[in-house]
Amino acid sequence: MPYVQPVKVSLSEQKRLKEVLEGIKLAKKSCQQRKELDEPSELSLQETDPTSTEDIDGNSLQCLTCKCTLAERSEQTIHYKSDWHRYNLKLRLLGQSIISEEEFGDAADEVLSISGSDSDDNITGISFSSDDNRKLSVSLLKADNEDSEHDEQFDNRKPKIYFRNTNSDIVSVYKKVLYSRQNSDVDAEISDMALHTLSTAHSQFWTVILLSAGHFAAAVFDGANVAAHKTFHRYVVRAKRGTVQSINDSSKSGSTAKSAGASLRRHNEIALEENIVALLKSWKEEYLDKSSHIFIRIPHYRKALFYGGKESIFEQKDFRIRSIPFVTRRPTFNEVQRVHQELFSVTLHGEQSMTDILSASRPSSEESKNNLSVKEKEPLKEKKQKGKIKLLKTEAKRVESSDTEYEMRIQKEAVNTAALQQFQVSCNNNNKKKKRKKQEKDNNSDPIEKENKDAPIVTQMNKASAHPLDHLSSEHREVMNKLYTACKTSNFKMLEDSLQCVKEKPTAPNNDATVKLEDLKDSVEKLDVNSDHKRHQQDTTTIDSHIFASLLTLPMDSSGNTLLHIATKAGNKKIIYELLKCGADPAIKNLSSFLPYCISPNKEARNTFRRFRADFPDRYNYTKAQIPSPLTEEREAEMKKKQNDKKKAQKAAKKDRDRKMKEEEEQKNQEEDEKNRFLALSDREKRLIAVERRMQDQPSIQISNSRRCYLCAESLFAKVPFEYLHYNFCSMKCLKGHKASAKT
Amino acid sequence: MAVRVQFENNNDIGVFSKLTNAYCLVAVGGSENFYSTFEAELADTIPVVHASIAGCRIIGRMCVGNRNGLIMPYSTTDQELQHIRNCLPDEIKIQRVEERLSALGNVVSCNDYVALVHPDLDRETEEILADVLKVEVFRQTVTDQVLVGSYCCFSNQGGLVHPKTSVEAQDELSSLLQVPLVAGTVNRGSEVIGGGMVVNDWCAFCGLDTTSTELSVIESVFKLGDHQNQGTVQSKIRDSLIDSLV
Repeated sequence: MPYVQPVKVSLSEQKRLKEVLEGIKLAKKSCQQRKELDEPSELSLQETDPTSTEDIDGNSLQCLTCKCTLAERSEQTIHYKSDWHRYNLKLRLLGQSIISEEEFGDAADEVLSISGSDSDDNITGISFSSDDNRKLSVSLLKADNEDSEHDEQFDNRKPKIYFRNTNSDIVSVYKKVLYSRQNSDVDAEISDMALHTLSTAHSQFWTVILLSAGHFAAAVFDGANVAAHKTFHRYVVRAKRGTVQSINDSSKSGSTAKSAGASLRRHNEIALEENIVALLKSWKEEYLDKSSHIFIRIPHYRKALFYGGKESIFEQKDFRIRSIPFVTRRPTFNEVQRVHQELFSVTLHGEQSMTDILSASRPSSEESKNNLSVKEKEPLKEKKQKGKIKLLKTEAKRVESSDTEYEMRIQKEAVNTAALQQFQVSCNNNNKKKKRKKQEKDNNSDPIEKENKDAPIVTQMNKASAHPLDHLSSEHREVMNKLYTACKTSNFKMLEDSLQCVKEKPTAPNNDATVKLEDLKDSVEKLDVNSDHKRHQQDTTTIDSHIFASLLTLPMDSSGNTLLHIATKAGNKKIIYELLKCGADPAIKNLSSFLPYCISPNKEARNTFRRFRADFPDRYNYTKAQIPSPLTEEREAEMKKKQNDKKKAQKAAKKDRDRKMKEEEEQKNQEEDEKNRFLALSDREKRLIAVERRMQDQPSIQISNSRRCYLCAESLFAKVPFEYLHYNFCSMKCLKGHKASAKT
Repeated sequence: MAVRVQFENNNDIGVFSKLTNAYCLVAVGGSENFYSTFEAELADTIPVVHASIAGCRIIGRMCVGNRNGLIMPYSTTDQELQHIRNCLPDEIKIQRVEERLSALGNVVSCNDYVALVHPDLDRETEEILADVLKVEVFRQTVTDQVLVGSYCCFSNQGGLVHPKTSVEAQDELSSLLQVPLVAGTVNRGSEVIGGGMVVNDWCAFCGLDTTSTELSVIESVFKLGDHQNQGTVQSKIRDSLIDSLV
């Protein structure tokens, strides 16, 4: 059967559309029925075929460049503005042979740009979205590996869907016109849906938006007519190198181009985006919201512009939004119109079988390659179809195995942490138990404690919530209080006394070691102590030297200061030394992590620590206590000597400075005197002196005060003097002054 | 009415002047003779304006315009633009374009309805031309010469094209422009039509060298003066026309 050129029928031609769409059913590949040619349909084909070139009038117009005949003026103007004509014009100027319209359609992806502004054109006028890329490459495949008609029609690889009408003509329409990915749950009733969609299309708003590099074109169509349209162009693509500036910027982390061109392009990109957003916002209410179909072709790096942001122009899930299922050229108004025309039409293929139609498309040399690429890109949905691809299977396996690995790892970790937690818990429990036991022990061993608890012993201490001492026995507490007071008030005598009582019976067993405090009375009285208890304590205060050593390291107040801290703060070096000697560890920090050494108020206190280190080099951990090098006697003497030397040197330097200053002043005075003397001389004498000097030291230029301004006596040394007659002056002012005085 | 005129002993007056149906731009010359000739012919109908573009006197080659507007190259200074804006009527749009082919007069030829442009002209410029001058823009060549502005000259009445234009090409162009065209010369055989003459719907100026034959062809094809009747051309000067073409 003869090959019939497919004919496009616009959706606005309602009458004809009705005829074409009458009783459409999904076309089946296996359907081999062939009818005789339907006379009227064949006729109508010829009537509507815009490319039929049969009727050539004698006075018809023609384009000499493209060697084609044009029927009328409107066609002529369209032709002269078409890309084909421009392309041919360029070819002719380059001395090459022209190409036919069909060839041009095929060669649209060639590099030669038709516009004059080709320098900023990166994508050779053609853009693919990845989605369409797939579809296109697939549509080239022979449709022989499909087995069910339904799948054959509904798989995502073909951009078009084919129907057969009552005249058994094949009618095709782009799937994207009928449904989008969002509402792709179409069933067998697709033909009814198609009929409905296509027959109502003439009264709907359709929007087409194209964006590629710096070119933007958008138009709203009311049926077949343009309701609104707009195009923008900005210089954003890096000349010759290609790609938009922002992509280049983002690909290079760190250093971005700083050239004027780069910043220009960056600016233009922002401006372009602003323009687009402004335009689409202004269209939103009037057109976009009313549109039933929105066809969009945007590069992926601009997706955020449309779908992102707080007030995105479109919603990602909007079922009206569809991609454009075929190649588009540079976004221009013409291109938008072409896209719309293409989408807004059904194609009548005549009475061919499906195989004919599908195999009629361009044969592909890269069939296998495309096939592979398709398999890789197949969406998840298709995985469910029977024939799973090996590649996918292995991939899935890999995923599974990695999953189990992951689980295993997780378990491991869980076990680990569990053990850790248990350990922690038990540890805590142990600690608590210990503490509790200790407390119990304390309570049992000190029955008196309870009654003492309430008694205000030292107001100072009580106020400061002396909790650290709460669990101590009253005797201990008594001693500690005294020590605390001694440290706080820098009362060395009191400290010595209280320490003495500890040392008196150092080897006594626990409760027998009683300490008599003879001198306690006066000191305790000062501190406002309850007298009843005082007596009692005087008699019964007993203390164990071991316990005492540990007491010295206990924190005494709420901020965790030990006795040593307190003593250091007070700055009494004797007390500090004594405490250190008794066993107060200087390596214990208070609650704000200060060591005693660090809170020393003066150098003397610090030196006390160092001296102690020198005397007892192994007693404490001095590095932990941050006490620097030990300070022995000789060392101290050495340092003193050093300091003295330094002082002497300083003194000498000062003397020297003073002497120099004196000398300078003397010199100044001398100069002043000379000046005055010189001024007192008459001009004649001045000149005489000058001449004399000159005569005297002719060979060597003496650096002296011999040359002076005749008026103000400023030294003219290293100056070019102003002179008249034989008078020299430092400035014109002096010269004029002298001249004026000489005249009078 | 076609007038012969010279600009400082130079016959290429199309270089130094721009004539449209709504205004006339004249280069600033050493003598005022050039300006006076234009003023004498046009002053009572349209403004005749002294102008310069980017400090140059070749204004006819640098700008393009018709009764709807005027398009200037980007090199035009603000001062010049302001001067022209002040001198021309308000309804005439003046626009400066950023175009690589800055000698707009050489790459664009237009009347009040259509424009022929250089095939390499920028698309944006093309759009601006269409918007400002309100013309239909066609990319075309004249006998394979891309400088359509230099090698042809047409008004709303008719047009003169490069002498070596073939009859088919003339037919094509004339169908495109919708005005009758004649292949011819100016300035005693110069083929640079656009450079040698300026024309509007009722008046034409050509170089002082233009022969009377050339002048009568011009008058007849542009329908100037008394030569309203096509017949007279064909009968009276046919022979000389043929001579000039051969």
